[in-house]
Amino acid sequence: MNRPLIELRAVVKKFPAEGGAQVSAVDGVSLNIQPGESVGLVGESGSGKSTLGLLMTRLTPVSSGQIIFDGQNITHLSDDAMRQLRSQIQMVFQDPWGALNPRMTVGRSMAEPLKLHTRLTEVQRQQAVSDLADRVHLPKASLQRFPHELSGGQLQRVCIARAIASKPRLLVLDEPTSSLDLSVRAGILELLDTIRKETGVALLLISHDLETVELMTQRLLVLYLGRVVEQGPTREIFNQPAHPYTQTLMSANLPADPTVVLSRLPNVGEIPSPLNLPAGCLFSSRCPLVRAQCQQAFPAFSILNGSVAHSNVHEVACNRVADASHWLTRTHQNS
Amino acid sequence: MSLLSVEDLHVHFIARGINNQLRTAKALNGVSFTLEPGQVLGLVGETGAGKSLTALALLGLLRPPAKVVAGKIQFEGQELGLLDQPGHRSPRGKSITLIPQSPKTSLDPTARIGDQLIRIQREHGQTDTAKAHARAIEMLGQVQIPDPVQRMKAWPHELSGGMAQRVLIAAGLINSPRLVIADEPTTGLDLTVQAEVLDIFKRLVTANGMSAIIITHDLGIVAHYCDRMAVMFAGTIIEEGPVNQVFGAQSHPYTQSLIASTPKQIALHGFASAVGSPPNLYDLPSGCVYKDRCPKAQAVCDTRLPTLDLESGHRVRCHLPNHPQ
Amino acid sequence: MSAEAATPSHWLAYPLGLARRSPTFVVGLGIVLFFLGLALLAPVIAPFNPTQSFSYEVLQAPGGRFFFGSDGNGMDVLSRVIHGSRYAFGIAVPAGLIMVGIGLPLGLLAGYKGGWLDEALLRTLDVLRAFPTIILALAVVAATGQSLVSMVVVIGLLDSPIFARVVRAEVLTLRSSTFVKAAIAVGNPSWRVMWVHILPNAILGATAQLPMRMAWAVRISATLAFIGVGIQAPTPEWGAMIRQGAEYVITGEWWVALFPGLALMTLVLGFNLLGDGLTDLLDPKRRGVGK
Repeated sequence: MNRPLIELRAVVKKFPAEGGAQVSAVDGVSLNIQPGESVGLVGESGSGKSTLGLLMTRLTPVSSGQIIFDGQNITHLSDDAMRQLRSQIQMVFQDPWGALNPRMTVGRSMAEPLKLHTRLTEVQRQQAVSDLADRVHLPKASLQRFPHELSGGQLQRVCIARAIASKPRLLVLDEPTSSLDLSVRAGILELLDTIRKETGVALLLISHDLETVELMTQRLLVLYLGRVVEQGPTREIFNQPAHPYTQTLMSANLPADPTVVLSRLPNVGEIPSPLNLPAGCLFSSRCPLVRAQCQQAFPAFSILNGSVAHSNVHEVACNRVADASHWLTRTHQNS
Repeated sequence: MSLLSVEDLHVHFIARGINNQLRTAKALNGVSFTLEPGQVLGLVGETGAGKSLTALALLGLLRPPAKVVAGKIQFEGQELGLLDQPGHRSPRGKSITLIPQSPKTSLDPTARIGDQLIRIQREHGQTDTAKAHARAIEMLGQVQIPDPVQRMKAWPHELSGGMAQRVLIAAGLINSPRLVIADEPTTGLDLTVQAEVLDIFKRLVTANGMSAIIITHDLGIVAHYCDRMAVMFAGTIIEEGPVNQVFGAQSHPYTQSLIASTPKQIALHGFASAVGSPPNLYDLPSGCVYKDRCPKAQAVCDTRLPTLDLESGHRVRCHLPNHPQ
Repeated sequence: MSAEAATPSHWLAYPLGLARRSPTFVVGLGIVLFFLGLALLAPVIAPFNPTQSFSYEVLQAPGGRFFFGSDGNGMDVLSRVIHGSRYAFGIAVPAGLIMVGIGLPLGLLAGYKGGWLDEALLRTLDVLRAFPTIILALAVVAATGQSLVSMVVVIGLLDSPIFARVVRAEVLTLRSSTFVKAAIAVGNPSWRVMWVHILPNAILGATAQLPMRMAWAVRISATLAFIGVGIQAPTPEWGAMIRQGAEYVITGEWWVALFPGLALMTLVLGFNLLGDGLTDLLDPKRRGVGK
């Protein structure tokens, strides 16, 4: 079994809330990413997916748990030591306009990681930036421009170029196409795909858009209120979602094809407030299959495809897995 | 007679640039479409296509620097004034209503939900407060807000995004309009909440025989909640027709490229070729507005656009449309 | 939303465009530049030496030889008003430099690091707000010997925490912005985040405050001189001139106090308009045409 590139062990992140209470944005998430792998994180609001991205890049400290990068425990690494490691773990943010210093030309922004992490001369840096611009299909003339002069799609290319400049091994992408126009999104996704194939960088794609995740990732984690409820190969989860929440989520997706018949699963209530979480399984307040046992403790993971390699395991945190698939079929018949 | 008829609407924005020169942005360039009673039309396009602007024109909410240079709008046979004229009697708010986007900022933060719903009715002729109150509770129930009587006293900031959007739907439908315009009704909402909100909206519209225009950039919403769709690009409707036909035929190259950009299509057919830059409304090309990005552009595209009727109800503005499948 | 390259066709086009966007800015700038011109060219354009006393032409009404009249010492009011702008700028500008020199790093560090420095700054501001600044300035200047230098230093010091507060507010906003997170993510050390990313953007927001602070410096220096602290007669400083002129208002020689008063008022107004105009102009640029 290969050593994972990055591993999160029981990571918890708490934030102070009103009245002195603490809210867990992330409540005990364990995951790992293999070198060169493309992994997706899906969830709705309150799921903690964006926070996980910040935790993984150590832009915010964990409350408890461990982060292991390439065998090294980086959970409490000093800022100085972390700085050097940052060349290996990079992030692309959702809002390309906000992610760039408005007073720096985009060329300068792209050159920054080279300045920080390499010993290239100014001339060599200019050349490297020019090469990066070519790779992300950015016209060279744009390099002298300021962020407000470029379009969203071009800016996101700049951000991607900046992120890959230091040749990272892990790229965390937080909703990289959500702020962009439809016709521009495909180009960005294609760019990311090409980069992964050419450089072998691992991708963590955080998104609320199921179809994008289905297209771009090999493995998928479904998050609900700060915990993983299902994880496994993307293809399998889409073909046969096991957790009732995953099923509800998938059924709410609207494909851009009027000939597809929707099979909507009943949505019971709304996502509970993080200050008022249900006991036991977090989905128990909305699950049509809930039983008394579900409210006692968060369900342990059961493995659905036991015989495959560990990195391809499909596991679900649900007590009623066996009945859940029946439920999906039954509702299909009713609609 | 159609419920709504928009003919050749041209709207320009006149502004002064940083060097004090007058610049004209041609925001709407000959928008024409009709809507029958009971139909739901999806208005699709990307940023700058002119979809929200069209809605503002329908509601008579255009103000300088917007200038209507041509075109007319007829609603239930009557011509509508296009610029906001105080005192001018328009059907806005009563027969044509708007459900705006961003529910959190569209509700008055200083008034309770119930009071706002009553206020809207009073502004359009309901003098009996008790009746307005009852109707408000009824509408909250129809949009499936739990415990409507209690909720009447709630403040907007106490509501979740999904709830607030449903209150906006209730507000938009409370005066029983003939036409509802929903502007990006699910922006910022979770996937599961979006589905619910749209289901409620569609159900109420259909049950009351209303017509609706849903403005969105999400093709999935159009595919499953609209009867007809109009695709906009650079202030022009470049293709229009029944949803099944437009998705099936994709006659206009822009429609085709939009659909080809969806992840599902990419999974089936691979990544499409690169797309050009967004149109510059200050400097639109002559002839077809799409020709600079179109892989099929030929000399004929420099001339004026035609409107081709493909089948009944399906129109496309292209000299070289794709053949229907 | 696309970038259009628009080149100005006429050299006046850009200023006119600016004037349209913010007439306040242009008017304010005009006033300030006018007085600055007076200050720089005073020896050349003033008709008389400002401290030259014409003993036989005391308290002459405006007109004739003395365009603004003459004061109680027989000195030409116009020349004194013109030279007064030298003092106004001579105090406001160095005080402004002190203010930025102390306030900028203070605000930067307090906003970025927080901790005890931030607490110290906030408490100092509380104290300043509780005290009438005039009394404070009065006390310090009187105690340190009444000279121009001590006035400049006191004003500069009093202004610093207020400027620091504005800078601090900008820094706080910037600290949580995405591009600062991105700068950290890329691997910038703290000092570089502050120097390259936060400082240039914070300065932009704080710049509009600068003219406001200058306006206050001009006003308070005149006020101190009016009370009789710092500047002594026969120095042609507006505040001192108004002090002298106040005595003559009752006896009907209105011009001695009015003209320096008008000059003071106009320059302070000019700085305030400049500051307002800058705030307008530095608003995030409006993007393209609506949907």
